[in-house]
Amino acid sequence: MKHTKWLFVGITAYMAVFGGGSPAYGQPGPNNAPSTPAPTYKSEEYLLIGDAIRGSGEPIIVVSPKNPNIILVGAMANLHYVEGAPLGVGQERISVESRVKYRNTPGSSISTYAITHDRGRTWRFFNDPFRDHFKMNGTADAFVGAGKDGTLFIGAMNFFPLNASPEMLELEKEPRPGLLFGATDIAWSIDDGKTWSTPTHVMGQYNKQEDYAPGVKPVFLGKTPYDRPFLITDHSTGTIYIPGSGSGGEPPHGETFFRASRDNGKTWSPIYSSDSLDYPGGGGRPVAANGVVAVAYNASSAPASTGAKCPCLVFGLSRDEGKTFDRHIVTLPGNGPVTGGTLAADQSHPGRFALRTITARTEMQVYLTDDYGKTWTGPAVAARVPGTTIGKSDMAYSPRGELAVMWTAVNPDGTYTAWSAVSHDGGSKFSEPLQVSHGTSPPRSSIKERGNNWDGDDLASVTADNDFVHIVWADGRAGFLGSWYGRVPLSAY
Amino acid sequence: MTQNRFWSAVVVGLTVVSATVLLSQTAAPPRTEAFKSDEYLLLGSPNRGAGEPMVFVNPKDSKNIIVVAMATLNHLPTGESPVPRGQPGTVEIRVKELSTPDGSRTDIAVTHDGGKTWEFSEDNFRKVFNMNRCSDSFAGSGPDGTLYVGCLAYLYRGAAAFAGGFMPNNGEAKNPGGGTAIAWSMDKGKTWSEPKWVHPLLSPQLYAPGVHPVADQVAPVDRPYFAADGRTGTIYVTGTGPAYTDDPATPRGRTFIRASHDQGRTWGVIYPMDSEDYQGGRGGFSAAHGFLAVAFGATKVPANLNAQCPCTVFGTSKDDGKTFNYQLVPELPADPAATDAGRGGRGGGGGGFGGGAMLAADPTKEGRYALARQSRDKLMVSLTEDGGKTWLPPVLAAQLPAGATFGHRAMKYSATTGTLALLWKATYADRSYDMWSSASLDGGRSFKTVRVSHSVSPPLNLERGNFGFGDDLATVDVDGEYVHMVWGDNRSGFFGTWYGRVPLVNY
Repeated sequence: MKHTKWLFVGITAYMAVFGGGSPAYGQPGPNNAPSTPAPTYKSEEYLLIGDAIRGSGEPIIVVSPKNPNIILVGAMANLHYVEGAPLGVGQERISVESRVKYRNTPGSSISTYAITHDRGRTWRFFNDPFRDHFKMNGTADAFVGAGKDGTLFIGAMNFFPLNASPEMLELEKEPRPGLLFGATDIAWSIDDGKTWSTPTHVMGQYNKQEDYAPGVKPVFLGKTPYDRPFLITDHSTGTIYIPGSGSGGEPPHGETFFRASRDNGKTWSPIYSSDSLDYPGGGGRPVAANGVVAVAYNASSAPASTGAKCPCLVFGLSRDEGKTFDRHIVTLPGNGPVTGGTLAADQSHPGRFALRTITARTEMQVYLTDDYGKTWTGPAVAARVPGTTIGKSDMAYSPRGELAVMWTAVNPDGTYTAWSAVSHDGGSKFSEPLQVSHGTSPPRSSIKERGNNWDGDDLASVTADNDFVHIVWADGRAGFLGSWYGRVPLSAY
Repeated sequence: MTQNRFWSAVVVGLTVVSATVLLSQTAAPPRTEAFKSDEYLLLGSPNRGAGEPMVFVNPKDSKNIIVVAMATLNHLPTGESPVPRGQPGTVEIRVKELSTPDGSRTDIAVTHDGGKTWEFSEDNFRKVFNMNRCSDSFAGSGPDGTLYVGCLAYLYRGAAAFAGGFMPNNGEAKNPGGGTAIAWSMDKGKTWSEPKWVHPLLSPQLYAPGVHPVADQVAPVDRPYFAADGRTGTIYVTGTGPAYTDDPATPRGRTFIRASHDQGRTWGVIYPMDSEDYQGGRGGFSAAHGFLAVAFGATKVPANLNAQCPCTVFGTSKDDGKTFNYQLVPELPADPAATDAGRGGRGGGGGGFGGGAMLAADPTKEGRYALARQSRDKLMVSLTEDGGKTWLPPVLAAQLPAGATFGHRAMKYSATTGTLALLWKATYADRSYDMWSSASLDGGRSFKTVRVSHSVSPPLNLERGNFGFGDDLATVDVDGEYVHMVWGDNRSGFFGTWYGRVPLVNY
């Protein structure tokens, strides 16, 4: 009797530890009732873009600087399933043939935008006008932005022509990949998103060498110079900047190109690159504020006079909208990394930039400069969730200089949650992290059949007004990959 | 207990259980990717929710599935949120909501490839009938492959329905106008007919002699359900509300059924499910092999039956409900579910859905009916193979986790294989919930359970909660390969309709 009792205790304990979640056949299943009260969250969050047939991912968000009730989100929305374009098996992406079929299926990949005029209470959804206007099959890498005067922008990478010739199709198959005949396109709205301008090109494969600034040597293949565009606004001058990635330089390497417009996209500067012949390197998405443009990227080499051992982190500052840069090797305090980093510019504090690095995939650190990159302080630990690695992440200043960060905390099994933190002092010290998502997203592999065609999940983004931090990220909790919106009051941090 | 003793016991227990597990080859607890169900959000958005959905599989083409749901604006166009029931302003905001054109509509999802892709649309009933709403959505499928969609199309456009006043307790218009209507599709849901009234309000002349429906808000046409007889092609649509026989002062809640023999083009007399001899409120109904079958909790049966009521009554009709042959069903041996079976109110279910007694007719075996009743934390299924003359002892079909309560329930036989499937909602103490299913591959004699939800839904968030309405039911259908289920769920951050399916091989 005594042994039986202890055996029962043991079985009970074992089942309590290991038995959850598996309904035994013939029985109603285990008790999955929450054993503790559901946690309370300081965030509000919900699925914003995406459905059971068309997913959504790598969303970007902007708040109108003239009216915080107006929020615009853009995301890459792909059919989960395209006839004749099967997904790869296991970790394999799709084959070249499937990719070409997928990309040449009209509307298989589009850009969907959501706009609210009541601070997120209701939203209006619309799809990009770029495909129809320029007779392309698809768009990708959607982005949004807002000008100093409140002009709103939508944009995307628009590519793969409708009715492509056999020659075009052959070129698309090249592994590099070949010519995709695309461009970054934008449209703008001067009535808070009610109507939109006729789409226009920013830059793309139509550009000739003479469209590039002297010394810039693009490789006219692949997605040069328009891959993964963003829109950056200098709210002091009103100049907008749109970067794109590709390859160029001597020898050719990954390179970031960008263009500036002083008239809200009607005309554009020559195409510049973030790097230079003497500081060559990839990356370097520009940021702009208070009349300057800044870039930070990894250089593969630097002038011998610097004595730098490269790869090395370069900070570049331009006071003529990208025409010329003053570049130097960055020496970060402490044991800071010598490579990597992404910038944010503080519109409220001339000379202040924050540099975000990810250490060992587990910790986001932020370095700060208040003197246009001459000296740096930090690091401050901005993001860390024990037991997780950092997936997507982003960083943005609010109009009054509070620095918000977001990231996805990825568990060892691939599930993840979205988090955020805020520095009320511009980047020297951060709040405790707040979980934005109220549940754990399944790994993308478990929703493969409804996973945005296993495409379009390269980033997440954050912005902040003077009341809220707004976060958008791709999440699989609805059974498909969709773009979720969350917001947290600044006062909650 | 000391730690040593505890862990020794754990080791012993682990050893025993592990051996048992290995011997029985029971699967280990599922990891994230090991769920037996496939599930995802199907209808709803941050602007407009979607709830009380219905799913039907086309019996002629199991890859053709229709789902409909009641899709209501989460906020009024002027920005207001719903006011929690019972608080000041509840009625005023409800009147404003009901006066909003298109405030609630029927959203439709149709797949032609077994759920790989879906096509989305919305009802045209509001436009055709010039009504504000198309609520209490229902769907159906006929044996010839005709698909059906219907709803309670009511409330004259704008605030016109409130010219006659509103109910001070809930804000419903006293004379809303409209009724239950239906449309059909002969091309698997690609195009739809013009809608046709089935149960129009203020139409007492349509009811059987001696049946006097009380016109009260949307009574007697509230919450329609659909059933089709696979042999005859007859389709049935129900409605509920109070009616009296002789004394207008003593109406009782009843379920009414109307039949069509020509795929909805024309409709017969409206009959009640119960009778004066066998009085009951709401219950389940089903149809097969030329019989319309009903089951309900009766408050009164003929005295010569010596029954203690409330009691469960089963009835069959061969004339569309004009006459019924009623029989008593043996009560459950313990914790009889009579109180639940006789429950009324909007949450009660007719047509084999929702709460109360659930009834399903097996289209593959004449005379076989399954009746599900609740016994505390269990659903028990009683089976008859002879049209209700005798009933097999009830078997356990579903059991709740400890501390949970039943929410929505549904049951249905496959039109082609005789598989019997159940769906139920387990609601926990904090009002979170998840969905479960069970199926019987032997016609209703034994069941196996599979959890459908991959995680628990949070409770309703009134800010994005279908304006606090439209969550009265969840439904199930089953074909030769899958159990298909739809329900309202809050996991997307708003109240939306989720679709789930489980392969029959997992039961």
